[in-house]
Amino acid sequence: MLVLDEPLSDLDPVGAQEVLGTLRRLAGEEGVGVVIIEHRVDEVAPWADRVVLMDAGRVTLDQPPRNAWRDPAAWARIGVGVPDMVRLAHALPDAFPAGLPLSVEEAAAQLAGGWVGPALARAAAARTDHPQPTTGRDGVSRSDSIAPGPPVLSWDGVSVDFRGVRAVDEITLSVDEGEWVAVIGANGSGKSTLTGLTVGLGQPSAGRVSFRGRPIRPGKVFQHAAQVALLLQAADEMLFEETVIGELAFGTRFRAMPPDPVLDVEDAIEFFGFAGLEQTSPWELSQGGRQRLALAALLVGAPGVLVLDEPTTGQDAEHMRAFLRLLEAVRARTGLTVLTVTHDIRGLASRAARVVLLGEGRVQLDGPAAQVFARTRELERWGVLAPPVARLQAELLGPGARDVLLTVEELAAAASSGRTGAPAAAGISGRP
Amino acid sequence: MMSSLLGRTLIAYLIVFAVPMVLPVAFIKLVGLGGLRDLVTYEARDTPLHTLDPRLKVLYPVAMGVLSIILNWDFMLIVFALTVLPWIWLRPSRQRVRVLLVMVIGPALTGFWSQGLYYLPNPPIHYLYQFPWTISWLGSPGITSYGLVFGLEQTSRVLVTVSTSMLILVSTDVGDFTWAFERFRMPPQVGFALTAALRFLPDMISRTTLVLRAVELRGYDLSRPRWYQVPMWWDYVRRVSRCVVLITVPLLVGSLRGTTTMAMVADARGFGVHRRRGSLREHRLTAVDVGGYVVLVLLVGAAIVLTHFHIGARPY
Repeated sequence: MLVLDEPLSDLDPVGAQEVLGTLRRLAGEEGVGVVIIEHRVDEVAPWADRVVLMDAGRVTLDQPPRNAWRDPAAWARIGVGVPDMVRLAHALPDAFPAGLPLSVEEAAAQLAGGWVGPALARAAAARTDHPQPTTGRDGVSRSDSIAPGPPVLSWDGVSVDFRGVRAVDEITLSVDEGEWVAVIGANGSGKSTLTGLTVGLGQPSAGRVSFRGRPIRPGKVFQHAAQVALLLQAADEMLFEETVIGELAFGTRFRAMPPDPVLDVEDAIEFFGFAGLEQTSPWELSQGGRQRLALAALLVGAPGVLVLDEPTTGQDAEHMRAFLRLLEAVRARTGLTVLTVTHDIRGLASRAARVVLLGEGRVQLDGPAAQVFARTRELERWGVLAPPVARLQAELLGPGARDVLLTVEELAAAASSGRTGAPAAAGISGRP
Repeated sequence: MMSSLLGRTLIAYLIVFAVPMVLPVAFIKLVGLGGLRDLVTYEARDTPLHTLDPRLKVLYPVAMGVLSIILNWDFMLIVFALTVLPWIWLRPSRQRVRVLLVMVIGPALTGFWSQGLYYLPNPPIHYLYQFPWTISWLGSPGITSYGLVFGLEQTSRVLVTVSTSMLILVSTDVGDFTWAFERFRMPPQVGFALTAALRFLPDMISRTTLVLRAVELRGYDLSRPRWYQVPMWWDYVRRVSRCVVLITVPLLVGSLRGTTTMAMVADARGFGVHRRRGSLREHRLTAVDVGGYVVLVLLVGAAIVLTHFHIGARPY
């Protein structure tokens, strides 16, 4: 018997599939029982024979996967995610007569020859009739939704070598003021190295990294941290004080603060929900609370850019949604430029206005999320799986799709409107 | 000028304090925390030394250490040379060689220098440089050639054990150590404790590096002034001292969590369930292993025979 606790949390999607494939072989050929504790339900669902849902220390559901998600509301109440294909089947029940699909392939097989494919094609054609300007590289255009500000971060021909291995290879890239950019790629593709350079972590072997036109000097982390707030994946390692308020005031004690900070200590207490917890030890907060505190502490002052390194790793659907809501609220309040490094394609990357795919230390794709995730084959080639909804559209519409819808709600609305002929945009609801 | 009291005092202070001041700078500049981690972490490579019988690799530093103690200075030089030769066989990376040289030359220089200052032979004493009264109150009347030679001998003896231990650490996977201890009929807990200890230092260094990075990301200034910015050094020392207090809690919490995880892993992998442990890799004796054992036995045997006949024996 093998029991695995979050075995996929640090893996890129293709790596996760390899691990799951190996486990399946172990179970099928060797007869080994496998128990996986995992939040990435989309990836695990097609492989499992049984799904056990737990809440407050009790088993609330124990069913084969096809039965387990018959009532998504039960899952939503606990705050655990439901696979996208299952949600789609619940949104379009008459399109899935054979029951709940657990994978993109199953869903595509059920939808083949049905009304959903042509309806989506009509909706896609309607989107194409109103094209957006194309300015990006690699043939992928950038949408109007990207805020047209001046570049705040730029990498000009940057390369980084580690002991003879090229981690970043002549990258030229810029992030504009107010943009939300997600950097994705397989493990070892150079994502963290690239973003670390924005605060002076690491030394480029060639090229220049700059913040608002001023060069970022390698090793001068303290100086650049005032401009670029980097939240490490291990947020716990960023807490040093005995109380929540001490933690929030940490930066103000050691460096000069601007006269009119976007967020001061009092604002941060209110905004991040720490009212009444000022004298609490950070170690008494939940994991999500500690991450929120580390983020709040970084934002006290006036950083120009927020860089997040895998901020949702190991979080369940509810915590991830809460973090995304918080991030949206921070952006709405401060207008901050956000750069995230993530493997969380379904949640975080598809929320970003722009997605940059790294592979072998180079920029392979760069554009709006809807267009980058339409390139499913290229993504897979570089170790990344597009969100299930995007892959389903690629299966149904073929590889030529210019852009894809990124959420179940958008896809269901587009399919329904394509079927009835009603305007698609009217039916598109907000992302969950 | 040089023979005046002031000149002699300046020269004497330079002799006394040059080494203690240069060594920390050399360590920070050339080694650092990352370098220290490199020094004790296993470097997977395809060399004959890596595939050597782990038992032989455990015995090797012990045997060379014993030889370095029982043999006199002339024979010690041979032993020292024998400990350096396998490094050539290992072909370590340039980064590791740099770190290794600093970590070997540093203590060697310290031993050499301190014995030169403080080891006083029976009179008459030949001073290389005799200190004036303005510094001799520190406890050293001057630097002696006898002391320097004595320091060199003592340091070389220590370096034999240090060099061989480092060689084994960088060329042996920690699992192989456990296997070797198992074959020596030692309790598996000994192997596990050694494995945990060997892993602790690199882990601790990695964690410290991460936390120091996090401190700076939170806006704490750890930038080092240049050597000529003397007035700023006091502030730097103050900031570093304060930082030690700051990072203690996250380091402690991280280490305790790591220990808990390690204990869970040991339990999950069934450590201690069976009297005899299995191993993924079973080492089989090769011709190179046999050759290694023969050389080691010959060396130790020859040393015992020679010292029995008072050849090369250390005078007591």
